[in-house]
Amino acid sequence: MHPVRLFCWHFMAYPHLPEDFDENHTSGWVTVPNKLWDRKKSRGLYQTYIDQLAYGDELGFDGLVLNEHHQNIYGLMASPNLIASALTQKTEKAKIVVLADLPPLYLNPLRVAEEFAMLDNMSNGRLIAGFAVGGGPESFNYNVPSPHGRRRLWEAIDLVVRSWTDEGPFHHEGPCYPLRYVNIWPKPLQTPHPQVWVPGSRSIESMEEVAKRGYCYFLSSRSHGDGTKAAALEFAQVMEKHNKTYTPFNMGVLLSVYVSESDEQAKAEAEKPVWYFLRNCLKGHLRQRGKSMTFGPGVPSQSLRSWEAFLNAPRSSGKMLGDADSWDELEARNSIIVGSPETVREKLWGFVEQAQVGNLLIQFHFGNMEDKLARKSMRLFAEEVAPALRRDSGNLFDQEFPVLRDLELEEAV
Amino acid sequence: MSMKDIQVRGNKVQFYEAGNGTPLVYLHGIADTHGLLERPTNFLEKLSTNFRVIAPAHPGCAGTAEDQALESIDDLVFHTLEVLDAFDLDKYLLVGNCIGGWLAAEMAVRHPEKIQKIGLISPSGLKVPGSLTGDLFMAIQPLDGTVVEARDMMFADGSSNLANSVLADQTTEIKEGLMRYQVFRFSARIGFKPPYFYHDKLRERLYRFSPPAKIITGEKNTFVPIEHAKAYEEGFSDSQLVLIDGCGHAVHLEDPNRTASELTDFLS
Repeated sequence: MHPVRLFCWHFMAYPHLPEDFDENHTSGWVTVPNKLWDRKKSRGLYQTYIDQLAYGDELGFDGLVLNEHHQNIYGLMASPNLIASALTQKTEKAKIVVLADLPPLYLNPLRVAEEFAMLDNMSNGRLIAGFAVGGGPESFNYNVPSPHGRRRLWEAIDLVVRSWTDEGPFHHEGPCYPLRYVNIWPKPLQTPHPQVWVPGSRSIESMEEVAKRGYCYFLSSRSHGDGTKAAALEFAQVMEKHNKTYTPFNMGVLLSVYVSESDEQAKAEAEKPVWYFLRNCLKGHLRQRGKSMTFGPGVPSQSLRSWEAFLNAPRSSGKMLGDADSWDELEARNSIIVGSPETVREKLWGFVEQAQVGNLLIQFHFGNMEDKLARKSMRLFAEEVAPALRRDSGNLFDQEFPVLRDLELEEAV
Repeated sequence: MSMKDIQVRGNKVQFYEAGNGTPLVYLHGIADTHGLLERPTNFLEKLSTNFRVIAPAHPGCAGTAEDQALESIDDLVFHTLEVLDAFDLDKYLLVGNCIGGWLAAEMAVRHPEKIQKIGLISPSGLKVPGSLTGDLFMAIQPLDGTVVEARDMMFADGSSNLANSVLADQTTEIKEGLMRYQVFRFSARIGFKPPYFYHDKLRERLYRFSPPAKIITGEKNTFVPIEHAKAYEEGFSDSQLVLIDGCGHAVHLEDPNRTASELTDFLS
């Protein structure tokens, strides 16, 4: 059996914004004034978030997911590796997924190779190593020219993986990071190396690069339903071109879920933190209102070909997740799944059945959600949603992907 | 008068050529032909009544091939020298606008011998402490669905019809949206870092160019503040500065007659 793998993703939002934040600020990113940071209220915040993730390990989630953002209120992990380091000491079983470090922002990718190798050893071989180019806000934050990002990213990934697998010392002659001595100490524990995951938002270039190296493609857009299915089909085709066979474990997707005892209660508990997340955390990112920093000519990381395809694509309302006007609209889009265990199970099963993606990376904590609610949602999910989801998906995947039947679980994922 | 293509070291370069007389090489800026605008500007057409205007599109702009390895102003100087080699010009007049003004100045300090005179319109390129260029990259990102900040940065009157036609909120034509993306992608390659659009050694190298130089900009330029134009005037050994009333950065669009006649008088 090869069931879906269920990961718990924490963004570590800043939860203490004033009520009138949305009225008075154009963005939660880059320019959001840091006088809003409340030292007193924020004491112990990281501990709370780390403990929530450690609780995910206790509950039997397959992995815990972290990511890197800077100078913003959406995600306070300027260095996900620091949080990962803490998790290595507080968790036992779950994979630790750093999704991702952003090499184009750093002077030298060897630092990533070294820190990931340390984390793999410190976690007893539980690291999943993610690499990404960084979005528009990161480009402004670290003053990195967007058009150079992808070239740097792929040179960095290849260099890091080579540093883990080839005998050192060797020299690296790449155009972006020429290095005389590459000789990693420690080496990662896992052989040949930790799994590599790379996020993308359906650009064909990223899919190509990921597929030809046999890495896992993580769909980072928050558009679900048909979009995920289409992306999975595209990625499967690209893999085929490189003589590889798609299985659901070659791909991951981000989902947002809140579970409570009943649909009514779930909505009542989730509504406030979800709106906090949409209105504040997504402002500047996935929202038209305010200052949009994530995509556009000012942060032109996509190729001309991809941008032309984007311009040619049919637009519906042009609304992004953060532009939702009502709870009903949110529900209809399925971007945030809120309800009783039964409702969530049903919706997620519909999603898995349709999209056939095997790594579900689930956000349980939203904006300023209270610790006890996030924990309850995680627990109900682990106890009342996950078992059926694993059982049904295991059957489905083995049936739909015969290649899986010959693989041990570890090989498949 | 038309857009043409040539091959330079195996890559397509699109250029505009018009007029007769002394060759005038025109290096475009952002709100310009090959930049945000597909057609030759009136300003460029006016120049072509007195000179043989040759205006290549920079790598990745309009119909010129993109160069993934283009990472610095130095790369752009060498690319442009190769383009000009293809035209086999003995001597020429050099005019640069905005980011093209920066490029022109970098070429002038390296290879002054071929350039008879240099005209710079709202040039970026200098580090002027206390007077940073505006963040055009941030400004072009939508604010409540508009690019009002970019219009305000490029034009003295950001609400004018001119500003709205050059930098519309919604790029209805695919071509227009793509050109906007292209010129910003090109600009980000060389101008995003350091923040923004300068080479910190250029100012101390300007003295190397001894032929006459003229700098023209709008008195209300908030993208590249007039302190930059003044620094160019100080840096060149034989130079004059003209500030045009009521205009901002895109002075060649805001007052094409005055800008063209100031240049023509100087270059003739």
